[in-house]
Amino acid sequence: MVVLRTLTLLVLLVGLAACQPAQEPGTLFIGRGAPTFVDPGGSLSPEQVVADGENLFRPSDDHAANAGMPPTGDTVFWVKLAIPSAQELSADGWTDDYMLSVEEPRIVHVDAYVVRGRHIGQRLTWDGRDRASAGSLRYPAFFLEASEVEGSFIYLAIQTYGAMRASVWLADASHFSATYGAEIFFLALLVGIMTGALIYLVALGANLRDPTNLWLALCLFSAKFYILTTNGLFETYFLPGAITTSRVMALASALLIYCAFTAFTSHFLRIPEMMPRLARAADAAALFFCVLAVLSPLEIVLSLNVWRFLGPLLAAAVILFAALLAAVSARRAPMRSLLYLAAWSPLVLCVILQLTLILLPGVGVVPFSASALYFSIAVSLVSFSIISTLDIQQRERALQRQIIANANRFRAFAEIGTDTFWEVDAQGRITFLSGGRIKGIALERGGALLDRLAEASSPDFAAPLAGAIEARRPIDDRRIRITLTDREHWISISGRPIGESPESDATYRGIIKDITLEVERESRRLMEQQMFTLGQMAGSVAHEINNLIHPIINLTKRLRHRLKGDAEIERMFDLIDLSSRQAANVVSALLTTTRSGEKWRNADRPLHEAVQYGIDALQPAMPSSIRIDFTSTEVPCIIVKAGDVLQVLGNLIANSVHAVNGSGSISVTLNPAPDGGARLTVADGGPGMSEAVLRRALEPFFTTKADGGTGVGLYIVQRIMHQYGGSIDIQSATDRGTVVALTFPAGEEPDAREQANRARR
Amino acid sequence: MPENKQTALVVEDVLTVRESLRMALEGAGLEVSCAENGREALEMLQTRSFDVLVTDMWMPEVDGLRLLKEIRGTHPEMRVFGITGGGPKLTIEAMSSLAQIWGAERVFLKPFDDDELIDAIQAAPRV
Amino acid sequence: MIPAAALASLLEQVARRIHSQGYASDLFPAQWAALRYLNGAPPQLRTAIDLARFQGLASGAVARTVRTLVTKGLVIKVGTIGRGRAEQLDVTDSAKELLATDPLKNIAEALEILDPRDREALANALEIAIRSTMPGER
Repeated sequence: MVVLRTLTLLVLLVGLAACQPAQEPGTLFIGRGAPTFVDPGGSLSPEQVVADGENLFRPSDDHAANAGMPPTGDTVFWVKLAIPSAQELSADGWTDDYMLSVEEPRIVHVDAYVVRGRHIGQRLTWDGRDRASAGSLRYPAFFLEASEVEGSFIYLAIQTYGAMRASVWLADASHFSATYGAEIFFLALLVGIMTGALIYLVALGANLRDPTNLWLALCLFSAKFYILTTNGLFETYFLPGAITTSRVMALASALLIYCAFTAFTSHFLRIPEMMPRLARAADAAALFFCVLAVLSPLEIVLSLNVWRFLGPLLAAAVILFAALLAAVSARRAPMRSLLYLAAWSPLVLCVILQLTLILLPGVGVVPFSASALYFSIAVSLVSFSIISTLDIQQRERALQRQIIANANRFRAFAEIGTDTFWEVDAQGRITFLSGGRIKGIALERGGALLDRLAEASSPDFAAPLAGAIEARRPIDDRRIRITLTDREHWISISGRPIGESPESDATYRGIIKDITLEVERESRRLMEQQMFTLGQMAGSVAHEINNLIHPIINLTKRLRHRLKGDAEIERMFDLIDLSSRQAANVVSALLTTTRSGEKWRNADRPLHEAVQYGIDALQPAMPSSIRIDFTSTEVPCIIVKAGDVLQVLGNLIANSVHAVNGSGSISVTLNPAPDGGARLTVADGGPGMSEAVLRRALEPFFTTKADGGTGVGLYIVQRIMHQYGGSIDIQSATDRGTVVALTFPAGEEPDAREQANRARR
Repeated sequence: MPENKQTALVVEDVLTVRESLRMALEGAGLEVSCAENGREALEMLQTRSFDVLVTDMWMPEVDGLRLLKEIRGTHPEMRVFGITGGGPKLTIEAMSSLAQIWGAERVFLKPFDDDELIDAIQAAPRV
Repeated sequence: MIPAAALASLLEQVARRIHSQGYASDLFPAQWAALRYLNGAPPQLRTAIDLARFQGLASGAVARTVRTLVTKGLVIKVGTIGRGRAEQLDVTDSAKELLATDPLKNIAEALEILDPRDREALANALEIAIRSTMPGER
């Protein structure tokens, strides 16, 4: 919005400058109303003109005369000027002699004649091709002594490639030099500003590879040359007398302006993104103008004289096309379109004004400073430079917003999950933390990650992580158990070292995931697999063993028949027979235990019944060297799944069998717990557990069995107990045996459960 | 009186069981042939018949139940007895029922007394 | 084609009807099955453990069934087999009376009318059905 206000202000200033009547004291516009005529062949001598003046000169209207003839170089444009009386002028404060100037930089040659009556007095000449002798002025000017010209007429014979306008000024000589200097200063300033803007835009555009800026730079570049060449600056100061070169350059730069302007407009208004086909048309037009610019010297060299007609048409076409693009863009990006129009408005106004003058020969010349056009070009282009800069800032801001939005998006994604993202510095302090919170670990920025992890789990878990982070080794899915009071949690840590970065002193980053559910699922699957394999194996083992027992029994019987009579042999056969039959019983019990089927496992039973059942089922599968002593007292009715209790007992008893090395007694007790629940213990007289083993006993996949235990046994027991809201307590010490105590809390509404159970039966 | 001897085919994959059954049946005066599995038994039964077929029910490849179904109706005079120690996928109860459906007079559960089998063979066939 | 679901449903109804006829004698299906086994098995196999093995059931559950049958006076313990652990069982006379009214008998009589082809078809069908109920089958 600041831009828009600035632009409006600029437009106003330009307007004021353009409309300002240049009637300062010491300066007089004497071209107004001066009689003029055109000698197309340039054949008339000054004497003929003076003699036949009455017939040749036509009084022009109140404006500066504009003959509207094609300037061919031979054509001579005559102006007859009356010099005001010195008395009048000195009354206005004139002090010096006069300077008569024709402010048309395109003038090639002027002859001035001081005519008193019919007599030609002083003859003066200004030739653009010989600037040094012409006083190194941008446009023709003649020094006139006030006394010499008092009461006389000045006849000007002008040869020009520009408009045949009587832009003739009479000035106090000292005032003229001051004004001329100011003009040059103004133009030099314009060119300087444009050069500065040009360098800036080229640097910016090249750096950002931004076509808009580069096209604007080309606009500035060609406009600068246009101003230099059409103002006479070029042939006056840079290459004195090079009028043709200047004309060629002026034309070429005008066409280049059209080219760059078209392309710039298209890019500035974002046409390529909105309407690719229109943008292609704009590119084609730009190319067309570029080709014309290359061909433009022909116009001058061959004196084709097409530019005089073509120029305004092309200008109009370019402006219309730009207006079309602005209109199209206005539908989708109205602000941008408005900005565009506002930035061009100073130039547009001036061009319209100038075109009007050129296209309507009858209008004549207003005391209109050509500087206004240049000024407006410069203002517009510099405005665009400012807009471009702001544009880039805006783009940067948009980019920044996008980056922030992306960062927020990823943070939001991260927060949807339970994963935590962290970075630590060389000291192991957390420098970045995002994502969900992990239950049981109090992570915070500035805190020591590993210390927190060690607190939440144990130093045993944290130590290897510290090693990996310090050695900058990757960590992949390291699992850690978090000890919480209500239930256990599992997390997984992954991480990677970070390369050197100036933005951050983080050296390692990683993710913490809550994998509690995953671990539970995994161990459940493992457990089920274990049970399934066990069941299958038991089935086939039973079959095999029955097959093996059959011949023992039958062959024993046959032998007994053959070896009848010896009491001791009879006794031996009895024992063989007994042993075989017992083996058969063990097998059938094993078979039925493992094949007991899902429906039984899911059956609700009172705890004491389920425990009794579990013992019954496990007993036959035990080696004869193992004795299970089961004692129980009356316990509250707690309804459990029979399968759960079997699983619990099975795992605990299997551990005990392992602990006593397959031989000894295991005692199982079931007693009421103080709080109304029940307490089930499994105790063995084995070697017990060391503190280190005890600490990890409940961890899945931890095993002390060298022959490959799965390590899920106690973990499963623990999980089942959690389901019942119960707890597991392990009392063990080296050489002191192990007692695992399971506490089942009092069942909710045992009566209702009991009834439901009875109804089911 | 060799021409009066009853013939028996024992189909059993476990060598010790097979041999002890052969000894028991030969001891009872039968002429005993043996097959290691259902497939072998089927081949033998294509060329000749037996008075008695004693087959294990759970065997690799062609099991007892399949053997019974394959020979159904081809040996109407042959008496069939199943023996089994149990196995996967069916209860012994179900296997016994199925064996009886597909032609076995009785199913003996291993370990059983061979004399019971001999008694059953020597008893008059159930109609 | 006869819908398989309807056949399964009918089979279930048959089983349920047999069960409910069995309840009339105040016996659960498992108790009926135990009586039938103990009535038909060779004497040395009339034990709880052999029954469990035969039916593929958990020995604890079978032991309970047997205890109930003993309480009801349908089964008696007739001492241990040899010097082994298993206690030999036998059915009592009242059990034999009960078995004379076994609901299965009615079905068996009804099925007598089936010609050999129908019987074979039924046998095949029932084999498929019972196999589908076994653990590890699917």
